[in-house]
Amino acid sequence: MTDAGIVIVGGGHAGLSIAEALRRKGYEGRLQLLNAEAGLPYQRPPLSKQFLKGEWDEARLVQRNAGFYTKQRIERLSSAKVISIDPAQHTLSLENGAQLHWQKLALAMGSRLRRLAVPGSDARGVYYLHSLHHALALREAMTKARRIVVIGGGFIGLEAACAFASAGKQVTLLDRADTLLSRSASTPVASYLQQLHSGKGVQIENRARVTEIAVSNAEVSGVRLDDGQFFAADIVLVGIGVEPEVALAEMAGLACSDGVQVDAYCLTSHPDIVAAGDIARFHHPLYNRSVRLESIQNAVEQGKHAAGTLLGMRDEYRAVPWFWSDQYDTKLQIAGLSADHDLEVIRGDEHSGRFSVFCYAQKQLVAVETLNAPADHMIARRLIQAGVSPKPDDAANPDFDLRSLL
Amino acid sequence: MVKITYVEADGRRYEVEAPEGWSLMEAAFQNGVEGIEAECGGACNCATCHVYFDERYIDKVPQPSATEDEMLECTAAERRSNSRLSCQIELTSELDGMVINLPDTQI
Repeated sequence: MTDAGIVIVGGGHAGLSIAEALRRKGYEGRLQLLNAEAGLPYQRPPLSKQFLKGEWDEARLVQRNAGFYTKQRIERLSSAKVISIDPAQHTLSLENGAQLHWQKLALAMGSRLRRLAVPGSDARGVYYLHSLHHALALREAMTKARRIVVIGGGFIGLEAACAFASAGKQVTLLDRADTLLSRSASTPVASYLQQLHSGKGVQIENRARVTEIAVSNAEVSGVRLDDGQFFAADIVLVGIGVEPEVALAEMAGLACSDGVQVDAYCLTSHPDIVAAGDIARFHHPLYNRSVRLESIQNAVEQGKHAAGTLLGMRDEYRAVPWFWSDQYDTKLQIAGLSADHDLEVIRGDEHSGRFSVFCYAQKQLVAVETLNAPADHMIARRLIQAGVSPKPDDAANPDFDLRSLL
Repeated sequence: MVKITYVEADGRRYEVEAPEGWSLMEAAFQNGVEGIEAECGGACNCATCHVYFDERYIDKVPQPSATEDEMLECTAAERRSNSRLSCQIELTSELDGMVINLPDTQI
């Protein structure tokens, strides 16, 4: 099977990054990109932002146009759903009955939605937001809705709430945790965002435990909490996170544990199979712990390393994770991972809407969250990458030039 | 449609057409111009869509916002007087025919 070449499973940001990087790094052989969705690979971040707000159309979401794939000799298979992988035979099977051979395989299946599991959650009018088809359905439904309940105070819930509120809807956001973005952001940032959304008319309920989606004639009519509170809704958006799409990898016998286990070079437990993006769990050398990251930066950069590994290069993946979110006129950027930090230092005025939170763990700078302070974000990424921790007093002093430490 | 020519640092040229209203970054990215990384997809978050703008057209686009100006201080290649982040430039018919030079690195 000399012409089997490399097969990439997944047409999201990681899959496309692997394909592009293979060509840029000089791979000349056969290259197949299997996309479970129809159409050209598209950008996901705008789905909950410009696209939901109606500012962008579908054509604008496309990452690379069709001519690019032809020119790069990337065989793009759309609506290609893989149902099994056989590592011993170096084959995989598609839902349509076709079997493909591969010499090397890249897994970039990403993640799948976590579904709400309470009575009524399968009613009409309950929406999710993960892929283009979800965004299309939600964008259509929101035009007719007056009252919208958002379940989940993470990035998706907050960005969607922003789009709904900006469209003049009556929005209620229900979040289980004590503070918004509890998985990702520090308290000062969470407090600021809570005020920001409240100021735009979004009613936020923290520590909200949803027990039931109320249904009337098979349509959603509201959301009930465990304390008896009821919020009427024309539609409900559920944004309670995603899970790695590991079923195929598990069936294939690859080592998995909340993600496909990969080493520092994106190699799975099979020597001819790499994985990258939302699906991959790896030991992060900067944080000395196992992580699985759901972000564009990780999908794109890890994809490049996975491509290198497929070509026999060994380039350790040790990039600083970074994330962003745009809400109203506020740009939130996060450099690094803040879990387990024990010190927060604020740079700038917390009430001005332009400040940064420097998060330290055992005196080491581990993350910096910035609101409308993009230069701080860029410098923070370089500081964390270099392992440089500013003294907390210097970090807190806006007149101290952080660049002088680099 | 707006016609744009992108020139990579190594001299490779791309002739591209894109609709008005799109950004200068999107027009490059969809067409596979390599010298633009655009890691964040156009949200003014990453400074990896840095370009050297056509001096003949620079009066036809608004000045950089405060955010763009800050990000331009963080580009991988040297910032020049005509440096812009291409995700922040909206294509208009006035920009038809311009030539955009790309830096040798974005990361």
